[in-house]
Amino acid sequence: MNEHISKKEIQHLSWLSKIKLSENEVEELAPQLNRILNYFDELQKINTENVPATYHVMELTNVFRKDEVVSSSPDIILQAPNRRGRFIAAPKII
Amino acid sequence: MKGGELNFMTQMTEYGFKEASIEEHVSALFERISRLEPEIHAYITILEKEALQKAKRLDEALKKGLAKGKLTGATVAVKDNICTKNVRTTCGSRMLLNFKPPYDATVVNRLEAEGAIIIGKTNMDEFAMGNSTETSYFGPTRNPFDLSRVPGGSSGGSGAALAAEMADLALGSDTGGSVRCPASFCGVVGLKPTYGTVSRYGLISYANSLEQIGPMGRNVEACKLHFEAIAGYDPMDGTSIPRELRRPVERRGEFKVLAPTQLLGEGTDPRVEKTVLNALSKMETVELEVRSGDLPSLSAALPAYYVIAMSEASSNLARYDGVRYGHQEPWKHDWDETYSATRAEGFGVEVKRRIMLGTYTLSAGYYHKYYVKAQKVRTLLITEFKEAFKRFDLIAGPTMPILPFRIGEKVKDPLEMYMCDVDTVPANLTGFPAITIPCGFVEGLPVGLQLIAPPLGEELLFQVAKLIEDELNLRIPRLNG
Repeated sequence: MNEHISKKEIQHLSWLSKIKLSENEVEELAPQLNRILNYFDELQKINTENVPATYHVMELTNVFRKDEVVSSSPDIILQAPNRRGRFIAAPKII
Repeated sequence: MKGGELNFMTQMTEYGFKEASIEEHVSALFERISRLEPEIHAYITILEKEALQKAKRLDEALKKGLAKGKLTGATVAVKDNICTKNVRTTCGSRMLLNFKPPYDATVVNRLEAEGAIIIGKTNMDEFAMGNSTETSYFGPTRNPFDLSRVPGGSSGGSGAALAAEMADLALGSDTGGSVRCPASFCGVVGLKPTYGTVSRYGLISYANSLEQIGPMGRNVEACKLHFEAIAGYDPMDGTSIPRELRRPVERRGEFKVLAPTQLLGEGTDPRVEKTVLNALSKMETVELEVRSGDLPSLSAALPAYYVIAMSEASSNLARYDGVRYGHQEPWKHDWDETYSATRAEGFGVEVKRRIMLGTYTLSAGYYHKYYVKAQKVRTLLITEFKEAFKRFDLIAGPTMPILPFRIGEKVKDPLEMYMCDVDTVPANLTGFPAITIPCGFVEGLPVGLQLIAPPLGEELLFQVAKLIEDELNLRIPRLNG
């Protein structure tokens, strides 16, 4: 089986995904993720030359509506765990 | 059947309804739930008080001749990833443990408009990622046919609630088989509708190009009525098929059915295969002509599905930052640390695995190798299906390649778990509709037969499923209680 990702790369993925992982979790995930990615390599056996990709099964075009407020609930803010008055509070970004 | 003139309870004679008021029907149901639920654990939230109030209102409306809904008096269990106003909607996750949506999903509105009664929110694999309901933050649901086994998933609570007669109808969602798998494992009927037929407004996204909300019932007629209530154009869903394009596939007198060799053989439990083939061979005496054939791209459907589903999941689940709603850890040094800690605590291990793999398959160096490649394989599969449907009316095979497995048997091996979805994912990749109906039993465990139709072929699926149901005339044992 090919090693697709090292433990170091898993730590990078953890950063990209914004999911903090413990050392133990990295140890456990490494063989699992490699085994799954190895299975994904089955796709490489299929000849897809000149085949377009299907990103969506329907032939979609943009759906527009008038730019008017149709439904809006002031209660929506009540779901936020941290609030200051009518604002949502968040940890500092920079 | 004259929909709207009879209420659901009088239509569904096979459901064994007695001459009773809706309130009595609902009370009896909650009594049954109180006895069976401790063993089955199908529900995350039970709405007894609200349901009894609604039942009373419906009884009064019936007396006055004002209850015209096609599902009047039907009790519905709703999967917990479908938003219900002011009723917590958890997705089976710690991340949304206390999330109370400020709005109802379109399907919930539609059901209530037809006189249905929402009785509770059902257990599921966390964020619908799984096929056993074992990844739920709330613990597993048990299969009513054998309490040591899984009910399937991810809509396992919905499947088990129906099988244990703890609801008349149930809603699930199907991203890679999450309606059909539990329907098959629990011996009930479940439909994955054509993509765009049922509104996804209020369905919490996992992989939005693949998923549809699907109806479940204990027989074909119940599932059909359920489907008719929830289907329809919805301006709140940008992928909803407009009214003028909803031209159903015509009903026919005789049916040609393709049984692809790729859906049988290696990887399929021979007992499951035998049960499905027996059911199909019985049908040959009626109106079905079954032929074996090849659909080679099916063999690549499973890896293509998982690449696409995980990629979309990594993007969809980025919204869970704990800031606007959901679980939030105490603030750390900065936003990145707080965000990463919140997601570490809020998500379970399967969700983390899929987000990380999806992040990988979408990352700059691997985007073409995995994500675009999978979308090309998807095109091949759609082309093959379209070709097949020029010669055949339906594609048939097992819904699940195996029997319901024991709780704990597979959960440690993610890849082995994924393999169970091999027969269900093609309908999601193509967007085509598929139904599962019980077709027999192996050692007391139900086996499901799957039928796939061309887009908008739901009528055709219900028509043929009913023929098969009548011809097989299975006696499905139900849990005492």
